Amino acid sequence: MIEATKKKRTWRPLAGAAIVISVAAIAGQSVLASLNATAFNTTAQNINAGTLKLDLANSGNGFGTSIANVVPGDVVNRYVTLTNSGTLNGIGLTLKTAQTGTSSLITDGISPITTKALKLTVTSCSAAWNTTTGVCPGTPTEELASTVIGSLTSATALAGSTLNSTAVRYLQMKIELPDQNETTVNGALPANTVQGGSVDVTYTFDLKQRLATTTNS
Amino acid sequence: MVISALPASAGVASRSERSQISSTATWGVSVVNQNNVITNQDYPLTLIASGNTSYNYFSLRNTGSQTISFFTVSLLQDVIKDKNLKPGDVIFERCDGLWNTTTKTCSVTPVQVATGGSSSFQITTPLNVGAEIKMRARTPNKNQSIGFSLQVLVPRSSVRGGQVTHS
Repeated sequence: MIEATKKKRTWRPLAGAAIVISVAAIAGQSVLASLNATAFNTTAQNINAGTLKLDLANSGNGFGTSIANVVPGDVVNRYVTLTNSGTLNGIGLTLKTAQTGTSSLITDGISPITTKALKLTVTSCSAAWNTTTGVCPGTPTEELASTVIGSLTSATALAGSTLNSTAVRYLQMKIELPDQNETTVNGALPANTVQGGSVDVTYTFDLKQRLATTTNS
Repeated sequence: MVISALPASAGVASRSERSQISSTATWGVSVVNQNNVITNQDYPLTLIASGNTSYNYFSLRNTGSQTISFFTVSLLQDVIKDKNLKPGDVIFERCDGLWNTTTKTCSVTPVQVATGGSSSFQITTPLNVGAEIKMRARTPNKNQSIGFSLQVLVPRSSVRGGQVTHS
């Protein structure tokens, strides 16, 4: 009798578990069978990033030809064109130079040395310069006042700091060696001379993207 | 959905750069004696006796990179071994042809440019790069002990003025 009772109690938990699983299965089938709705644009939205591209081209000799045999008082005008060929408007147009070579041509002498180094002046024209005569057929604007070449190693803002997409900036790069007196004795160049020197100047123009904006439409 | 957040400094920027070489001219004149270019020192004038006269032949060469319009030669009296001798007896002559050092003559008529009594003389003939002025100094033998040195000076103003060019 006792053996029969124990057998009954053994199968009851199994039966209960089977009932619970069955109820859960039925309930689950009812969730999977619920209604769904989806909405989407039938034409994919195109999002593309703008581009910023600053092109520097020679106009006439530009930077493509060396400047040789300069004497004090010489002014050499070269012409280049900057173009924003990207799709974004640009801001913060700057110029800096890096130069190597004869130090007396890069920085002014410090007393008692009186040598004067090369200077750069940048002027833009609203139309293309006549690179033969130096005439601006439009409106000239001084972008950078006369500056000793060695002082331009940091980015220096040009007066016209914006350059919109497809805009062109016609630049006159004026290099001058200030007039100064030097006397050569017995064929030997004086100390700290500006004579017989050479400087390799790299001009770097930088342009930033326009300010980022938030639009609603 | 992808969200990217960049600081303003990481925005798009564009750069263009080009290099250019600039070089400067030189101006200077050196004494040339027997094909030796005397540079960076005064030229001691050694007078060599030939008959009753002593001579020194030398040239003044444009060793710079520019044509010069004039230059100055300073006459520095170094030593007067005999005070009775006269520096003014030393004659500096220029020959625009060629000196014949054997016959002691110039192929054209020589021009006296100074005497040793002067402190300097100036050559005002334009001198192209590498060109020379043919010179000689002469003095009676008794005067050869006078010591002269020549110093050649070329100022900035002897080369072309500043020019404005466009290209």
